[in-house]
Amino acid sequence: MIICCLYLEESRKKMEYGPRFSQIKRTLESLQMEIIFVNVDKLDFSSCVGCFDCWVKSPGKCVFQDGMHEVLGQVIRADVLLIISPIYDGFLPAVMKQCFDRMIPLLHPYLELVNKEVHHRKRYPRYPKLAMVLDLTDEDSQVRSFMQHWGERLSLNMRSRLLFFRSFSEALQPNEFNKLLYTPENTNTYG
Amino acid sequence: MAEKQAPLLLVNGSPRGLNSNTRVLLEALGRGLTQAEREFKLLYLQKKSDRAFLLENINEYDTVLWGFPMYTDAMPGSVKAFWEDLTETSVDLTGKTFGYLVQMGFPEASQANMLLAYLQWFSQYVGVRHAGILVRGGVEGIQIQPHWMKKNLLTQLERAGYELGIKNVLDPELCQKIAKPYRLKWWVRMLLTLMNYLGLVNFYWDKQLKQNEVYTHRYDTPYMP
Repeated sequence: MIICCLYLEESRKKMEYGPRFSQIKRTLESLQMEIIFVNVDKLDFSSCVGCFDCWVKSPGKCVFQDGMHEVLGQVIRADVLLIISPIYDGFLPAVMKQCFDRMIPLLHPYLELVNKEVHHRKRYPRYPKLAMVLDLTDEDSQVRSFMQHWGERLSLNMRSRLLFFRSFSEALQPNEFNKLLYTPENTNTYG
Repeated sequence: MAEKQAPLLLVNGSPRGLNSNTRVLLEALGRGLTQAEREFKLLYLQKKSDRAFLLENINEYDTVLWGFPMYTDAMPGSVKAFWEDLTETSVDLTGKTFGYLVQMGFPEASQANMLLAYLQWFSQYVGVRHAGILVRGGVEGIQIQPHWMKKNLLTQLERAGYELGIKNVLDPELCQKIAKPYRLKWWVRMLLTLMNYLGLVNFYWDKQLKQNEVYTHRYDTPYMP
């Protein structure tokens, strides 16, 4: 089991985020798995400019020479893509979203129908399953629903699925992580 | 004509800036605003000077219409970055009105459902009046389309711009018309499957791949472990 974990270690909005994140990171490190940690705040990359050169000029590769190349390699190699992030103004922080915007080289420009909707075709035979651990509070039920919906959409784009979606308030012990990773909740299967 | 409304900002949040499809749509709205004799200013988030102008002068405008492409099922990260700047500065947004224009390459507007729910929430969260959301699919390639193909859409957008100029809302009926197709009907999907089989769906991409002499590399998997 290989996990690629994209994370932010601090929140600009909440002091408690840092220590809580460290705790989760220690839990993850105690698991018998290969985990590649990517601190998205420290990652050197530019924002996508929508040129589509990764689709029509250098198929599968972004023309920007920056830190995203290594990340994309890790994402494709991983079994699980885990996002650990704070929430700013009801959504992922811009830097995290910018990182996902740069993942379009992993898909193919060609279109096809999936679940009666038009989607881009896969470029790779397999993609990691998605998992999200977000700093949501109990009162954010609407935000929780956008984020979960977004995670499901992202997994559908990769013809993968959302393995689990947890908020910081739900305790995550090592054995729970193990259980979540190995006994998937079969709620969002796209096949 | 009704009482004169305060000037409005049209903000183009596309990372492609001046070359964006969003520009084509916003300019159509702008023509409608002009017909309604409503003053407006068009800004590009991609330009540093325009971002600075917005943060400093947003108080002079009572209405902002944010236009952008959907990236990975939400607003582009760069638009989110600007909104974070906006909420973290001491700009007072109370009493203002926000409207949105979301466009995408996928043909069906229903793909933006999550984003629409978020934008409505965001308006409420920052304490502004929500003027509505224009959504339109199938916009990639609009710049190379012959005029007759986009004429209907541009006319509808001009009308939406006119209504916005007068009433300061995006007319819900026009929004609904512009959002069509919301989902693809069964026969459209059948046609699409047939066209895909005949290689007609991906013609737009094939043309560019061939022009760039990388057609034979189109299935490359550079990150394959």
